[in-house]
Amino acid sequence: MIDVIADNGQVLLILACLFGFFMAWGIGANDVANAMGTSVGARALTVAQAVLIACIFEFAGAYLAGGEVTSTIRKGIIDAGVISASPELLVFGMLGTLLAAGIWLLIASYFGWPVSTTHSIVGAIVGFAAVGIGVDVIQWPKVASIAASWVISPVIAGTLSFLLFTSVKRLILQASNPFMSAKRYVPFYMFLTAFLVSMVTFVKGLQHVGITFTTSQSIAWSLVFALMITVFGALLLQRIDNTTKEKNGAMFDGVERVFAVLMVFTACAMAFAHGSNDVANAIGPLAAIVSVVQSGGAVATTSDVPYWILLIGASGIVMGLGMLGYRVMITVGRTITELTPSRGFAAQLAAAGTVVLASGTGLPISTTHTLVGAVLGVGLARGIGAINLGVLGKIVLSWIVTLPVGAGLSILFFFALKGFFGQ
Amino acid sequence: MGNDTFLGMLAESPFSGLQEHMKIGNKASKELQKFIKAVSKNDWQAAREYRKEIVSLENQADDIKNNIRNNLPKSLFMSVSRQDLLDLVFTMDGIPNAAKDISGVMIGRQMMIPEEIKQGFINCTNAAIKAANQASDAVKKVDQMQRSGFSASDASLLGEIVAELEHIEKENDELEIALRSKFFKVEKEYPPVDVMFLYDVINKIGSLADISQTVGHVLIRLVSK
Repeated sequence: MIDVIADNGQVLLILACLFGFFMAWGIGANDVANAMGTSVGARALTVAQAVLIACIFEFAGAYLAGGEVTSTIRKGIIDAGVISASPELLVFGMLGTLLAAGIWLLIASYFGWPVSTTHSIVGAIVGFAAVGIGVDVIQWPKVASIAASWVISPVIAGTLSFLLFTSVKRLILQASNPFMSAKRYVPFYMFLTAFLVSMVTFVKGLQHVGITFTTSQSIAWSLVFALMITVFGALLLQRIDNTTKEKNGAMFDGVERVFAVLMVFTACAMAFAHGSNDVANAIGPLAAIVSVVQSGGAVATTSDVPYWILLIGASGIVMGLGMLGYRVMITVGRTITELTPSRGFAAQLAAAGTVVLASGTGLPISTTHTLVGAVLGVGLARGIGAINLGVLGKIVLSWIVTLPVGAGLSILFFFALKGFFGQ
Repeated sequence: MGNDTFLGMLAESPFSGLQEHMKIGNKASKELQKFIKAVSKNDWQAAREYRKEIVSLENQADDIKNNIRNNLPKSLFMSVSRQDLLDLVFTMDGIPNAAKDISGVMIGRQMMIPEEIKQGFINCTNAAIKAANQASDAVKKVDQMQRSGFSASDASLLGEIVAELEHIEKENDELEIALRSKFFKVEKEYPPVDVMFLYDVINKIGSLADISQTVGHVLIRLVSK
């Protein structure tokens, strides 16, 4: 049985890399627009700026904070102990997963359905493993916790954004001099944003670069780093005066222009968070295949994710962005949204915070759905004129449909690959 | 690979449309003021011009009203109640409608305002138009409140605007009563049908102030959630 891997190792590896790269490319081409769309829609960033920020921070997020999520997809869902006797099944299944998720996402984006990469991947893995191998290879408690996180993450993001926007209302928008209050308090939000991202990076991200910190060291470094960013941000705010000016095709008063600066920071955090979760879970199956093939058939449970795999994912996303993503972003930028920077930042920071924390604990969640929850939170704080709940219904529906479709497709590909490689 | 559907969640805010509608209603009531001044001077040439402008404004207001109403599906989650918002639009729409009705009756019947009540008539109209203007300020205030996330201090400011609006409406009521009693004394000197229609117009002017006051009340209901 191990011969299958030894004989076809190279072919399987190349296929896996291709499919994994394609998945990441697809995310860059399409999904990033969701993460960055909030900033572009709020006119805080131009399309070019959004693409640039996305390139840098998606890459950084995937590379520095994506390891945990990749690891969950690779070995958290399927019980390695049960499958170690027939590692080739894992390879076929993970290849099938990449194909299934890739094709489903292609179909969905052709029709404009809002589906989630995370849900397709997890659905596909559970599908091939349960039907192709056996129900008992799946670590059901882990799957249950992942499924629960899909419900909980939008709720947490919604609660956070509600609290954030309420604080903005109390401290700034309703103050006797909103502009001065904005200049006073916005640096605190910048600090919060920077601290969150640096904390996850210091705790989870720098290990594989060869630097390890204790928890207190991580906190100390994060504080220093966040303070530096805050000082930089405060300097940027100095240049803003209290007049109404045109920015990227929309008129903004002084207060909103202050928030537009803040939104550049939260956009970076959002891209980082998106990279750390969505990219990471898309290349998780690739990581699983690589580890089996490279170890000559052993289903490794301990070794770390080889980081050149995250590089494949990160560069895939940047390529996708460069080739198609900017076009999607232009479309998003054209849509009139009522999400002003003071609202958009609250939604973005809440979503980025939730996603980054989930990435830190290795939970694969959907960035888009988390953002949906965050926007609703701002709406509940009476911050948004009107939210179309019809779209929400569509998103929830696609959430439900994606799981069985992903599972069905991966089962199909699993048996096809198994047959093709002479099992 | 998602798409931009997530941003599709953000429907166009109905508040900018409200503001727009009220602006036009206010403009129509100001044209009515000019119209009545022209009629009182028997300048029918100018009156016809103003009337034309009022009709066009009323049409524009109708378009905006329909636009707001058609973009309020039940699935919309808003910072204010949907029912209150619809009530507000329909109440506000009464202002350009009243301006159109009043000018329509007056121009259709080439209505002469009797010399004895001319000043009273103009005063009464001015008070009603002042009420419409005040209602417009209240709508502007609510638009601002929406932008700052509905603050308590804004709510008390809106309360003051609406209290002033009530005061203006009361003033209009008193002027209307005075006008009626004055006209009652001389009505027998005029053709009965003309008198009937003049009373009708006075009624309609009173209702312009009433509608403006109702706009204020609906606004208070809208923001107190």
